[in-house]
Formats: sequence, structure tokens, C-alpha cells
Amino acid sequence: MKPLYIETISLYGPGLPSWQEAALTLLAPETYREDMVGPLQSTFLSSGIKRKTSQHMQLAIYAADKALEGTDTDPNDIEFVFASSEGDLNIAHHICYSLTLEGKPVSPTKFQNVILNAAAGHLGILMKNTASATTVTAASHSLAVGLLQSYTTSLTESTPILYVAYDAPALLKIDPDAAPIDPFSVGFLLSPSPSKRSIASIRLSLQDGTQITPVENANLSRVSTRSSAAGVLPLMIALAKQQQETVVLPYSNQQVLSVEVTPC
Amino acid sequence: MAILPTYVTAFTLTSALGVGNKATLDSIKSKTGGLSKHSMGDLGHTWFGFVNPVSLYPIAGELAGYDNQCNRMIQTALQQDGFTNAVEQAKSKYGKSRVACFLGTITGSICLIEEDYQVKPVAPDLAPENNYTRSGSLDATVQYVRKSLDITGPYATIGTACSSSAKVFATAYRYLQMGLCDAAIVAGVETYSETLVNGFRSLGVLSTQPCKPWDSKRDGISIGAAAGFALLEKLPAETAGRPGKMELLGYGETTDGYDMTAPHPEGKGIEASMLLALKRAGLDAKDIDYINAHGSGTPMNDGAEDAAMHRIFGAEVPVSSTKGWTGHTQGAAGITEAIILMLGMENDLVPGSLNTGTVDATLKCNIALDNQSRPIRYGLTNSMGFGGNNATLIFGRTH
Repeated sequence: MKPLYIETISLYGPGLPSWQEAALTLLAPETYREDMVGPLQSTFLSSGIKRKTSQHMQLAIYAADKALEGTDTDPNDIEFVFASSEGDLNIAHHICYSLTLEGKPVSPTKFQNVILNAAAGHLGILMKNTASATTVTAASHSLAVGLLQSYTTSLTESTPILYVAYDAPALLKIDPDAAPIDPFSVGFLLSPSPSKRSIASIRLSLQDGTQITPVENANLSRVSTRSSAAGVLPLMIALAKQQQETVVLPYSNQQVLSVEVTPC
Repeated sequence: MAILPTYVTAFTLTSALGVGNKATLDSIKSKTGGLSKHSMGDLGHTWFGFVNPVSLYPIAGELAGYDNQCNRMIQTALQQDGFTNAVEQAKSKYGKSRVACFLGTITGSICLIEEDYQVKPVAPDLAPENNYTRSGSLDATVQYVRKSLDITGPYATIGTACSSSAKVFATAYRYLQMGLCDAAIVAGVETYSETLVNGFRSLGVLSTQPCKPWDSKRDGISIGAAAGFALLEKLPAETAGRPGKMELLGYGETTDGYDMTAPHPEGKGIEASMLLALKRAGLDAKDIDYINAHGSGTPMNDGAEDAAMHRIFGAEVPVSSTKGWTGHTQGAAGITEAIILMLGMENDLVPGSLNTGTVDATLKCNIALDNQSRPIRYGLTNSMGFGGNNATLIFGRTH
């Protein structure tokens, strides 16, 4: 398989308020503090856009904004791939509850934001980006499914990809017995060709099996299981170490996604 | 990387026009639309393209625990037009881990969650507690298809609103070209949901009459349910253009970067999508024999798409919207219209724009009001969705 190049990285999660801070924490996991939560502040997240969007969407827009900071790639050339383990379930709850009321007063704004591609749509409008945008979901396997979608798109279309994976807690739960979901988002600007900014290359392949790369630190391991997006932590640890490594991510009940990481 | 031709080796559609391709074609030929009046009680009425529930098979055997209206529609659709047999052949040829599945939907089986809200205690801060992993989550629909067909290859649910099941073709094409699979099932599934009906009602675009795309009196959409499936295979280069074969020749994917619900007023996004599809297909505008438009029936959407198509194709190519037949099948619209296009290509049939009487004089395209018998070698279909998400597909058939 051909390599795909990681140009920039962004990260947001409990105890991991930015990629710069997270990279240090992942190298010294004993310093991890879950209560260190950063604000969701970025250029795109103005008070106006915050009024129009939910936490679910803001997590995605934040990760996108941070991944695009300082890039010299023309924003209009960048295609989006977004992945989330479900749409915004707080909005789905609001709509389903509205349907129980007299007159079924569904909010038009809530309705336009219940679609899976709401975050990518808002970001495209903010950026005036007219390139392709694809949003995928695959429940707890969304991170790897989205990464493979990004890989195939970038390499076949020879285009840079902004890949964002994100999840947020919600009142309506798909599985009430599952661990609570943490707000978490991760962004990568991916390129089919190397540049002086390239951080690492990745080569992806699907393999039969279910054995995945564990996160050894107990605290970080707990975080990594509390959303599909946070399942990226084994990959982030490999990227923080800046050493060649193969990371295996959960892809389906039958297959795993092998990610061969080579620092540039 | 060598680009190999990608063929559609099987396809089937279940919609308001009936179960399977023959019923679909018979309905169009006999000019029998699928929309019916749907009362919303005190909230008035709309027209909806229901799939007749009596025509759907209950799910029995090992998958009986997955029996619900959405999965019944899927299961029934899969058993039409030799589709399941074609998948079985692909599995024998390539192995079940080499058969992918990419499915487009907006709401999946949210109707099951809606039902819980109607019968369980709920409040602004209280949601029903149930496990929706198997039915209700967006992922559940594609997982049901994979289980039902016993395939384990690459997969994804694509949610880009009304372009979802057009974009699955592009995704499948890429996975096939990358060698991640040897065959790919692409699908679009949308069932009745109160979320869609009342959401569009809240936006003021739900028509109280059967939708009339391009009509001077068009006033909105009629929603429909559907399940469409196609099997794509990458075959040797020497098979390109072989008579009788249906080939996915091109696709375009763009966004408007303009508004969450309204299209770019001049249709810039869908224009770029069509141009990308033509470029990939290696075709000129004059090569296209028929366009199955998105044609949702809202004043703004039809106006934007008409402007975009006219700039590229002029007023010669026949254009129709088939949403007057099926309703707007939402996340399934892309594949619903791709299959109606392919049926038209196989049967030399341009379906007319059902319900459209007098074409809006401000629109410029050549709208086929009635069915036309004419060969279609190359056909194009558009899809436009919320978030300004556009997709175009071009299919070719050598006679």
C-alpha cells in the first residue's frame, strides 16, 4: 500500500487539551491529569457559530481549525472526511421529544443539525470550501472506518484530506450500559505526497482478527475506550514517540485496521 | 495505479413504485405513481411514497431478532432481481471478506427510537433507556445488510443528507481501485420517520400536493421510503465498453460552502459536481442522452439545478425528475434515481416528470413531461443535500 502523509495534527480530550500538550503527556503518561480540560476556543468558533452549533459540532470544528492552523495548503483544495460514532444524539433527543408534544414543534435549526454531516456543512460554510465532504459513521469503529475512507480518498483522488473524528456525550444513549462518552476530537491534515511539513507517513491495511494495540497506562486506556474518536490514542502515542511502529485499531467485529507509522 | 472499469453487475429497487425492478418499470410505463395522501392529523396532510408494508417479508430464522419495518424493506429488496444470488456468486469468486458494503441513509431506523419516545416516560432531560445498537443506531442498517448477506469486507455508513447514496458509488469505486475489495455493494435505505416529515414541515418545504418538480406551481417536496442496492465489480480492462454492460463511468462530489439548507442560488456546487463527473468519464456534455435531475420540487432547488444544467448542457438534453413517482427518498434518493436511470438505459426509456404540468417559464432545461422512448447510452444523475453536499453519477451502456 502507498503511504499517506500526516501534515498536521490536532487533539482535544479530557486531560489532553491540545496536541502539543498531549504529545508530552503521552510520552510521560504518569503526568496525565484527567481534570485538565481546555476551553473549546478557536478562530472558527466565534460566539455566532457557537450559538448555531452544539458541543458535538464544536468539537469537530475545533479539531478542524487547529489542524488547519498555519497550513499553506489552499483551503479550497482540501476535501473533508468526518467520522462520528453517531449523529448528535442531544439533537435527536430534542426532536424525538418534540414529536411527543402537541403540534410536534420540531425546531428547523435542530432539524438541519441532526444530519450526520452537520459539522462538516458548517465548517464548509465557514471556510467557503467547495471541495467534497464525506461524513461516515460505524458506531464504535468509526475512527478506523473514517481513517480508511480518508486514505482511499486521498490516494485515489490525489487530494489533501482534512480528517476529523469526534464524539460528544448525550442524553440519548445508543447503549445505556456502555461507558460514558467523553468530549473528544482529533484532526489530521493528510497529503498524498510528502512535504517539508510532513510529520509521519502511514500505510493502512485491513487484516482479519480482533486483536488491537492496547494503551498501557490505565488512565489513558480508560480514556481511549470512552468514545470511538478516543480510540485514536494508540496511534497518537506512536506519533508522539516519533518512531516506526505498527498500530492496530478496531475496524469491525471481524477485522482490524493496521496502521504502519513511519516518522518523516 | 491502473484504472479498471467498474461495472454494475446487479441492482434492485424497492420503493413506492413497487418491490423490485419489474414493478418499478411497470409502474413508470403505466404512468402509475407511488405517492399517496398522508394525513398528519391536526397538522394537515402531505403526500408520501410509502412502500406497501403488506409486500414486505417478515424476518425469520437466525435474524428474527432484527425484525422491524426498516429491515423488512431491506430483506425484501435484497431478494429481488437475483441480487442475493449475485452477491453469493461474488462471495464464491472473491471470498466474503473481499465484498464491501457502503450504505447511505439519513435517519436509518430512527423510527424505532421515535416509537420509544411515544410509549416511555420522556422529558426535556429524560430520554428512554434502551439498547439501540442492533436497531436504531445509524450503524445498525449497514450491519444488518452485512449480516443478512454474510459479508465481512470493508464497510461504512455515509451520511451526507440527500446525496448519501450517490456518494456510496464514489466510495466503492475508490475501494475497488485501491484493491481493498473485489466487489462492493452500494445501498441507500430510508424508511418513514416522523423526524423527516415534521422536520421538513418545520422548514416549510413539505408540499400538500404530490410534488411537481419544475412546475410553475411547485411548492415543495413529497417524502418517500426506499431501499436500493447495486453490486459493483472491477473487471479486466478488456471488458470496458462490452455490449450490454452497465459501467460506472464517472462521479463528481462537491459542496456549496454556502448554506446549510439552501443550495447556491446559481447552482455553482452542483455545476462543479457535474463537470467533475464528465471529466472523469472522459465525456463531453453533448454525449449525455438523459439527465435524471435531483429535482426535489422546491422553488429554490429546482431553480439552482436548472441554471447549472443549462450552463453545461443547454436546452437539448432531456431532463426529468422522478421524485414525482417515488417521492424524495432522502438518504436513498441517490441510488433510487441511479437505478431508475439504469432501468431507463436498459429499456430505452426516459421517464417523464410525473405530476409536472406547466413548466416554470423562468427555467430553461428541456424537461421531459411524459415518458419518451429513446436510447440512452450515457446517463447522468444529480443529488443535492443539506450542508450543500452534491454528487453526480454517470453511467454508460454499450448497445
